[in-house]
Amino acid sequence: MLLSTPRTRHMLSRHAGLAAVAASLAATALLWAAPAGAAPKAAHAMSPHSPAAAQRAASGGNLAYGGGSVVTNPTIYIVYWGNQWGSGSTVTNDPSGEVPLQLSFFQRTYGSGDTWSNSQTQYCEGVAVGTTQCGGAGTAVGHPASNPVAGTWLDSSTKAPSKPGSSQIAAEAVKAASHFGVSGDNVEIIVDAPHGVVPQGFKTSYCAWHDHTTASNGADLPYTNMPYVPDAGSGCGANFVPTGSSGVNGATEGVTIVGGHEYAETLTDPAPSSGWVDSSGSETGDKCAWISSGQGASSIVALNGAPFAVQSLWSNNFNGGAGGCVTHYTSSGNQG
Amino acid sequence: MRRMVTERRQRGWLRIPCVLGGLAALTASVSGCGHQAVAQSPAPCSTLPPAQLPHSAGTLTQADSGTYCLPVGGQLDVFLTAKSAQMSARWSPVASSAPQLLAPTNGGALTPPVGVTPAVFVGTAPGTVRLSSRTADGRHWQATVRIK
Repeated sequence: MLLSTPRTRHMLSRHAGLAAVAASLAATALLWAAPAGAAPKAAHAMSPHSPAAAQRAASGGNLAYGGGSVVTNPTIYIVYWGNQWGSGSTVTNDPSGEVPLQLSFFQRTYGSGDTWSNSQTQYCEGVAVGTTQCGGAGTAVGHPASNPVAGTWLDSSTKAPSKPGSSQIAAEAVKAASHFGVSGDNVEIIVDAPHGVVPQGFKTSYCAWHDHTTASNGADLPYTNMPYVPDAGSGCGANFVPTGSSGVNGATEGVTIVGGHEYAETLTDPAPSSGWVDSSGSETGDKCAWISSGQGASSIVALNGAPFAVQSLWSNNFNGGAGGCVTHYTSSGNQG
Repeated sequence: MRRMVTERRQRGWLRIPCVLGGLAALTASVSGCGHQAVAQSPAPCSTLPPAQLPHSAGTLTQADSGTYCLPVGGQLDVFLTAKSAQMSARWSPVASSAPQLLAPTNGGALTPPVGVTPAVFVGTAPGTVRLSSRTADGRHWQATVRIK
């Protein structure tokens, strides 16, 4: 079954290529009598905050273009999945206030008042595979000129499963896309699971993830599995960033840290992993996840005047092109 | 549903030396310097524990240390959770002994919990591969994957 999916075929092709490159690199290393440490890196780069994380980020190198799509006109749709959220069209069961926080966050990721997600506009599509600096070529990742949230929907027609699997989450994304009448790589459907629902692997293996599926019209459909993140507590970002006098609620920081992570990765890699990933497979958010101090530390930023906790995102053109994690970006020469 | 297998001593591993010259260099260039890629007497393999991510054939954690089957083209996820909040308890990146057979791939589609070291691999060719990780406080994890 795996072999029959387009994504798997892409992965196989991609990794057959990687294996060939790795073998070639190993041969080159041998010819130059390089030390054993020069062998191709096998480890995965994505990790929570740790000193090792920075090392892995550096060793993974900059993000490189994989030949697929990026999001050139970001449009966000949120579905509140299941009647556990409430009946009719009104969310009434949201004990941590995730819904208004998430909505406010995404509604403010636009224009000059958002210097956080703006860093991702340096990435593009339509350039040579392997490109690391677009330099104005191709079509850039879009940055909304106005509120990118185009719709929300409480799907109270059904009860969300208590432990949904990935296929059930994908099916809900397709259902929501049909409800909104949208599809394509510029769309991000965020499937919000209600409080108490634990998608398989949530809390223990992940806080959220994004993927893509096929809409009912056959078009590609990027979507995000967004569990009720406050249910995970500190494991998924609660009180990760000191709030000071910002007004941010530490208990719900994870909603925007995790949500922002997945949003940025959807922008740059809506059909994983055909967009922008590093040599070890990490996307823009992974390389900068859970950094608590120093360059790229998660922080409170203002998005069009309102404060939110966010993590940094990877910027290839930071630090003279060496790359790094940044939380603000107005241009390649003004970021950090 | 998880099928734990009896730990078996890993016998028959053929360590491919990192050497220069002739056939040895050619072999090393394919396998990777210092990587273990070949088992002379393969042990039976167990079904992977259930998957937690899309497109995955199964998921391993620090509790899984046997020998597991993975089809060529299959995706394998690994999640290693730190025993405590101490930095020394964090697991290092998961290493594949033969990345030309079991290659790291995009696990970036997810946000890991704090203290969890994730890794995603895809089987690219038949063979037997060892996955491993360590913590600074001296713990070691490894599992074996049979790709077929």
